[in-house]
Amino acid sequence: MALVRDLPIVFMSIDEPWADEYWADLQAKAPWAKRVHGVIGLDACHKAALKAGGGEQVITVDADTLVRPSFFELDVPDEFIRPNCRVEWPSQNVINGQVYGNGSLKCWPGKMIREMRTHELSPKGQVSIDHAIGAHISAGKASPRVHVPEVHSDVNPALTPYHAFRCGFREGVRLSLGGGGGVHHRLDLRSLPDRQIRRLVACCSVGADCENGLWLMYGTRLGVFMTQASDWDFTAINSYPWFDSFWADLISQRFAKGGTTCRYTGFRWSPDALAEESAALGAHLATHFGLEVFDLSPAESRLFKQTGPEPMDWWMSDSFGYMYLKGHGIAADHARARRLFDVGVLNDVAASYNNLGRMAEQGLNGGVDTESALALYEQAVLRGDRFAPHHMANLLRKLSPDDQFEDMRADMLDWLAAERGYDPYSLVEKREAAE
Amino acid sequence: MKPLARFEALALMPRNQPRGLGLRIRQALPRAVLVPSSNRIAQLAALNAMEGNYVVIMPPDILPKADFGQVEPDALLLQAGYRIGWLARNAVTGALGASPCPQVWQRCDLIAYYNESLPDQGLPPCATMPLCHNTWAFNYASRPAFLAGFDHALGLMAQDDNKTALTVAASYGGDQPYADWWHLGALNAMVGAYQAMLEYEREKVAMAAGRKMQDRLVDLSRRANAALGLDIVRISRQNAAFFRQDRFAIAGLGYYRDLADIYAPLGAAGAVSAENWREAARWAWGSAADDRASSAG
Repeated sequence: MALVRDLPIVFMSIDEPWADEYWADLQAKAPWAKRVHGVIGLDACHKAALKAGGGEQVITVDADTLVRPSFFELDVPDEFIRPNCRVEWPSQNVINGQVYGNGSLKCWPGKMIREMRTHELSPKGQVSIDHAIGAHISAGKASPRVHVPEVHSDVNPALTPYHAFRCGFREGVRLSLGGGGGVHHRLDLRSLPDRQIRRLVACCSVGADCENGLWLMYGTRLGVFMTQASDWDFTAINSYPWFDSFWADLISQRFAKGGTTCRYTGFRWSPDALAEESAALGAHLATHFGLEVFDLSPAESRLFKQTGPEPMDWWMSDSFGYMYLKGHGIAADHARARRLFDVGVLNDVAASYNNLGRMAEQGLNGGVDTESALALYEQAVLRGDRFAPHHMANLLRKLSPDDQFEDMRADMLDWLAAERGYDPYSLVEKREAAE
Repeated sequence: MKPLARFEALALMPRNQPRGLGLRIRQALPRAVLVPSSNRIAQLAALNAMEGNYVVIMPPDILPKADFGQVEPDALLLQAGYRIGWLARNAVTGALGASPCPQVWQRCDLIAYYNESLPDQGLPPCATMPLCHNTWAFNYASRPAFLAGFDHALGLMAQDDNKTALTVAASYGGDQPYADWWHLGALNAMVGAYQAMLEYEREKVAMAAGRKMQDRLVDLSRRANAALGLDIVRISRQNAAFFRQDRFAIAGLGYYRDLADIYAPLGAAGAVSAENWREAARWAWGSAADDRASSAG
């Protein structure tokens, strides 16, 4: 077991005017912390952090994140100190109250950082707008990330208008593409899971009570709009020089010369003009993409955060169980996987019903039990799981190979899986070709 | 255990029930007997005419989703003598609550309750599952909405640590039908009224005489904030949808903790369930879920 306070911890800043204050705060809590500053590129920055940390693991802290003292009392179990496993503690966003990966604390294995090729270093032909690419941090369920459902940090990405805009814009692009580890091509927003839509809507709607909160919301809305409404190359968000010129040439000009002044940069801007344009953008998102965002007043924003608290991403227990099931990043342990899927079922996670069904069908952690497997698949299908219809169809065909009715049922389930986005037989493609 | 759809059920129908309520109940619970909520004799007769050991009781204004019938109650809890309840979502605020909520009772306990012949220990204890398949849909007329808001707020005021729940009750859901009457009822209770029907009639008379609902709500909100130290906000109708959509996706931590505590002493199987519910709480609510355990330890 490794204590957090025994691990290298590195603060990463680039151009944030408040970075010295936040760095001083971290140093006061963790005197062994190191800092990297001004490294261009998010991939390069993490490689520099590993080097600065000087160990085989490194905990990274973003420049807009304040670490709570409770973090330094934690330990990281040995089973997670492995070369392909990243441990992540979500952060609470003080502007919109959301608790998720933005600004999260991460414990990286050195091997993963050295071998990853993300953001500006992504291989030619591959798209990367977060740390989810390639064999080391891959997209989807196999992502070897241990998500620890505990909050030990607060992120404030809105300390200047520019940084609020930049962070909001990046989140708008990333969340509208399915979030971290999601697919990196344009999606119909209506196909995103409810929970991601809720988060995106909250990021677009909450924060008018905070300094520069409007900029964060405006940035998020514009990020969604530009991603969805045009063929603009969204990988531009990896480039901070691109953001600099986007801001200087277009955005800052648009709202400059108002009555509000940034306390860090002296930039003057008009909150009324910004609010007006943000509302217009919100109307476009609703009209063109069916994304209903809200213009909460400062009092309503405050109420939203006060009547929390925000829950964790409880469905992550399923991803964690899947890591144990498949041995992704950590040693395979079917009993532990089973327990995490059981926990997912208690929290009504559709994917956990499906994974328990798979375990029952394949006799993992117990004998083969096709009857239970069918019942579990059915529950997963009812709850909207994407993979369960396909697995259920296969099992029905296997159990009743000569039954026409079951075969027809299985065909319909395959179509359902395809409609939900899992189409191993390319049914949708074939239908479109036929039409 | 079998799913609830195969249980007998007693559905208490409110006065002036909204059209289709009985149909919706029977979609989920096909064996439901629909009885007026005001007629205890008919309710008792229906219970006596049933045959099973267990019965689902649906309080007035509780509207199940069709999937409620697929839920299987835990035999371990029933055999240990518990009633089992499931949370219901408030149709105005979106909050999840256990009162009122559908419950499975042992039929003999329920009959004894109606006959006022329960043993000395009183009502059988209730285990509330932190899952929601029902809506508490009281907002089909001004009277039930007002009375529901009033009783709900009175209930909350009797609890500790109630500020957030009271704020939600009086702030959320302004875009829903009869939400103003729910808020009015809740706010009346918060500023010290205690006779719901009397207050309802008074408010109706005042409205008929020209009092503006929104002015009254603003005034009562100010008084409730001052009296109870709350932060009630009159949310705009446009933004009210956001608060319902984006909050209460999952049950509160207290429901998880209570259930884990109930399971813990129920033998080896109970201990496993208790541990699983604690783990589920940790995934839903983070380290807050461990606080009590660590402080107790």
